[in-house]
Amino acid sequence: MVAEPAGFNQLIHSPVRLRLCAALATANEIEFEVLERALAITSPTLSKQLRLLQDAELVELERRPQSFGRPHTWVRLTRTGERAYAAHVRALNQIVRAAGAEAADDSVGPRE
Amino acid sequence: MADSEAELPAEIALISASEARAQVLGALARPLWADAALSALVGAAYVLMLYRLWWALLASVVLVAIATALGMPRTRGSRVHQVADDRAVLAQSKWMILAFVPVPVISLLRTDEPSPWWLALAVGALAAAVTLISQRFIQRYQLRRLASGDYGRYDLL
Repeated sequence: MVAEPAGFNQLIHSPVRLRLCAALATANEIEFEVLERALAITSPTLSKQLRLLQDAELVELERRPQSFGRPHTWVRLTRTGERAYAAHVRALNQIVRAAGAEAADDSVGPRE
Repeated sequence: MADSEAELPAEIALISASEARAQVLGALARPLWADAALSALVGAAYVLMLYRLWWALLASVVLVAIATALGMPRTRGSRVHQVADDRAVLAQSKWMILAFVPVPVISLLRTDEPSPWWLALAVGALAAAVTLISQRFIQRYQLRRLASGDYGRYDLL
């Protein structure tokens, strides 16, 4: 059994939130509607998941007025969020590597 | 058995994160028409510059200003359909300046008469082509870096 390594973040590990963090890690900030369209997440789900991440201070939301039309909401990972996401990805890689090593040991079989 | 079930989600999670990055980058990528329009402006600016009449030079300066404004890869937060990231190499707007390095060189090659029309058109077409190719290259390079999660500067992954 592979134990959860340091940096593994249960909040980020949820499928939608992990995809959100991964998407946000590719840019300084992304507009709400772009996230919604690109990741095919409905607006209520996106709002709910972002609020959870915001409560944990992993993301920041900023509503900015536009020259024309209604204001747009921009989302970005905070510095804490960047670190938490990076640590989580490192932890996932560690789990995968450890699992691979265990599988290799198993294939060798018991030694006499 | 229990072990293999436990390790599967981590692998799937990494794949899912990688897919999410690619999806959002695909949505943020600058369309070809935007680069083509920018390149056409740069080409037209060069043609006018070689015409060497005062109004043509003035018009070329205006075009260069418009092209520079359009070519800014990311005015932070003001554009919905552009990658709002300045971490990747070649992503900063300063690279746009390279497109106009030949401008002072051309202005030094002063003659009393306007350049022949074919030369102006050839230089304009060349400038437009170079701009288009470099813009597409820069974008492809940046998107590839971002998609791979290669963030040397911030050591994200």
